[in-house]
Amino acid sequence: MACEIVVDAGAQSIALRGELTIYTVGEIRIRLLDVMAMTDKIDIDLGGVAEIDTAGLQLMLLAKRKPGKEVTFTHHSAVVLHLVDMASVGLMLGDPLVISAGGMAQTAGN
Amino acid sequence: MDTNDELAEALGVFMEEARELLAQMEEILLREEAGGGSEEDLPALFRCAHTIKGSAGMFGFDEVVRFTHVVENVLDRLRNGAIGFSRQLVGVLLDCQDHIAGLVSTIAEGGTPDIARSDELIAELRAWTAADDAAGAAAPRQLPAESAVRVAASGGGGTGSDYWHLSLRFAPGILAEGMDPMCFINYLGTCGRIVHVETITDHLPTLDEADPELCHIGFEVALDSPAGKEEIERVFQFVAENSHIVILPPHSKATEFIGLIESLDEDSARLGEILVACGTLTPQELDTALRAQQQSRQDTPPRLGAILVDSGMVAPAVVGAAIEKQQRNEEKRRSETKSLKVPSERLDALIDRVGELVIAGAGTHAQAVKIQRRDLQESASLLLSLVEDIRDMALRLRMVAIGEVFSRFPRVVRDVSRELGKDIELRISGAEAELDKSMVEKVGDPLMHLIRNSMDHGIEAAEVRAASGKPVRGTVALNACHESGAIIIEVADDGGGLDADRILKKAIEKGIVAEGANLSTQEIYQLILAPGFSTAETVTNLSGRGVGMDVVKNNVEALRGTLDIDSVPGQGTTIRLCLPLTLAIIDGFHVGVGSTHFIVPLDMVVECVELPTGLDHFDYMEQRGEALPFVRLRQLFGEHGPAHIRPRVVIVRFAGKRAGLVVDRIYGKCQTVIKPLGPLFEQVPCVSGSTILGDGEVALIIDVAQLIQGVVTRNWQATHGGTARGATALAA
Repeated sequence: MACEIVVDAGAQSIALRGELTIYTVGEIRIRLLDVMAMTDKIDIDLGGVAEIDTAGLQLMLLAKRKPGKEVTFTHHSAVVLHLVDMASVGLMLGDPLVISAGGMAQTAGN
Repeated sequence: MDTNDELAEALGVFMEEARELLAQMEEILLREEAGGGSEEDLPALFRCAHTIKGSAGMFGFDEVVRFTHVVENVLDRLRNGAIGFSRQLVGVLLDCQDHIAGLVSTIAEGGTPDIARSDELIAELRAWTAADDAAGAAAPRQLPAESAVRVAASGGGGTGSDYWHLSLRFAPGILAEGMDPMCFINYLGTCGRIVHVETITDHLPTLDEADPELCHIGFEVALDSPAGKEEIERVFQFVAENSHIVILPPHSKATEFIGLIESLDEDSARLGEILVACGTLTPQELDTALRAQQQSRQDTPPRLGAILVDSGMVAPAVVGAAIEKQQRNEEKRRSETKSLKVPSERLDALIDRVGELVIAGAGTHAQAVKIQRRDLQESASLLLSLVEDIRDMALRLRMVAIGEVFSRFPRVVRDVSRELGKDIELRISGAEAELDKSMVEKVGDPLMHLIRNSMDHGIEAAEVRAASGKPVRGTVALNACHESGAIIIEVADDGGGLDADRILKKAIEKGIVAEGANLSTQEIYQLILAPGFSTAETVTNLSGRGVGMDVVKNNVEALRGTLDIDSVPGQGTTIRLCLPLTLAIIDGFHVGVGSTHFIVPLDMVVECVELPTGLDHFDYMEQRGEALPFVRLRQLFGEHGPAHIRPRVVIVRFAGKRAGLVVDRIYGKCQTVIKPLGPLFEQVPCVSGSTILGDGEVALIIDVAQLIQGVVTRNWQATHGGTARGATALAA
């Protein structure tokens, strides 16, 4: 399974689908940098992420910390929420608390 | 398709590994039961179960994981000294080991695992499992004794607020190596409850500079686990060497975290906060620790190791032990890499080709000798000796220690002695003697029969033993040693010995021998090998049904071996198996009778002499003051070809007996690749196989064992024209 990177017309948001893992982070990073070159504010939709590993998590952190850019992750899929929760990086990523809190509730429920 | 093959291969490795581990478990358990366990046994036992659980998990064999987990838990408590070995526990664990073996093979064959049996055993194990595990198992039934154990256990364990602290900084390349740090953390969850994970991002580069395939983040983990340090460490055993993993046990003093803080290159204040965030330290403790650190800074900074030791994090003795252990593991790993696993069919194919090479080489050599050219002869000789070396090496590849077979018997003896209500000890010696792999596989069943037989019929009941002044505990000894191209395996018991009169009486009753037959004691003993013979007064479910001993005899003969019985009344019986080392290629001694070629296995040839004249009507001769029985092959095989005026006697020896073979011509040593005879000729007496000589002639391989048996017991005439089986049956 590879990763599909869908960039919307206005380059304001990106949707990732498939793997966000060591196998795909190289390519995703390059695409992210391309998009970031055009805009300062990006939404990254993680709703289609079916698999994520440490490399994927690290890439999320890297994107978030890019100076001068405002990256927001949205629609975290279950696997993403689980990992974010396990690594306790929810606050660090600072994405809308609703999602983060929902994630915790969800994981706690498991 | 490929992935299926890979999976099948991996599964094969898993099965093999599981079998080895289970065998190891059994060995240790039996040793513990005998009271001879060593300090390393308990951790080893735990590791076996743990490894099986781990690899079963990789294949998704959930039932194996579920069951083994409970077993592992008990083993862990044994290892930690929370519980001790009892006879009862060993019994249950042995049953568990059997059940795991059963589960693994059932699942591998695609069957449905016996979950009911698992639950039954888990219920039995409950007396020894920790309280929290017992709660997890199905339908707990409270027993008074059990609850006493639980109280003791919870007294020994840590309190809930004490967590392990793990500081994980992985090598940057770990992701590229296919390992996922978060997976390790996830897996930690199998050791206990993950209280908190703090992700350390201090070393994250910027997105522009980052190589996203390198790991830049670290983790601090608080873990609530009853597991031992070793078990937690094992989670990270495959992590690359330059990863920095620190594991601090619960109850670690606050000062012990100085070592950790010093050893990491993040800002120490920040680390302190992390430790507080993880719940490992209270703010007060952090404060104390940091102040202590400040003080130590004023002196020259001590080296990390010194800090670790000084702060009581690790005692110097522990460091020494750890290093030693590491070295031992290293050595073990090195010795493991020295051996290579090769599918046996490849080896068989190699041996087969080497056999052909040997024949072809001998043929070439024979041709070269005919052409009178010295240089050609020399190179042909060199070639032949190289081929011989290769043959020996190839055969040695298949040699395995007989111990492989012996190792299953301690368990058998244990179980059978329980069943019989006798106290019997098994002594094994010579387990390192080697023989061909194919023989090892075939010798197991006959030996099993013999051992069971010795235990059932040989060893007397305890009161009988005591009455005759013997130690109450009976002994069955299993010995192996090499002798002239053969391996001798003895099964000896110190029981009552064979009762010749009773055997004879029984044999006459069963019509195996005629009444009034004059038999030597040896011959009478051999009667117990006859089909349908059993002297046991009572039939047990082990032996005594008259099947077994004749099957043993047939099996041994099928391997070109012999079976001897020695017995001293009141002192015991020894059954001696004599088997050739290999079934494939031998050094032969090439002789001729008339126009037929025969091969005698060279290992059995003692010497060659000329047949003294005037012995036409005798079948023995005098040699160095002793009578030597001989057999005329011409007569035995009904040869009519051209005879020699001066026949030779080839003196052979097998299983301690000597006999002569009268032949016409002696050609000398030759390489012999044994070709089995077709089913049509299997029954030909005194011939064990055939071979092709260098010049393309076919030679018959003489079955010296059978011949000697016939000659020595003076019944060889009977074999002449009889059947191979008839020979020994009549000998009896």
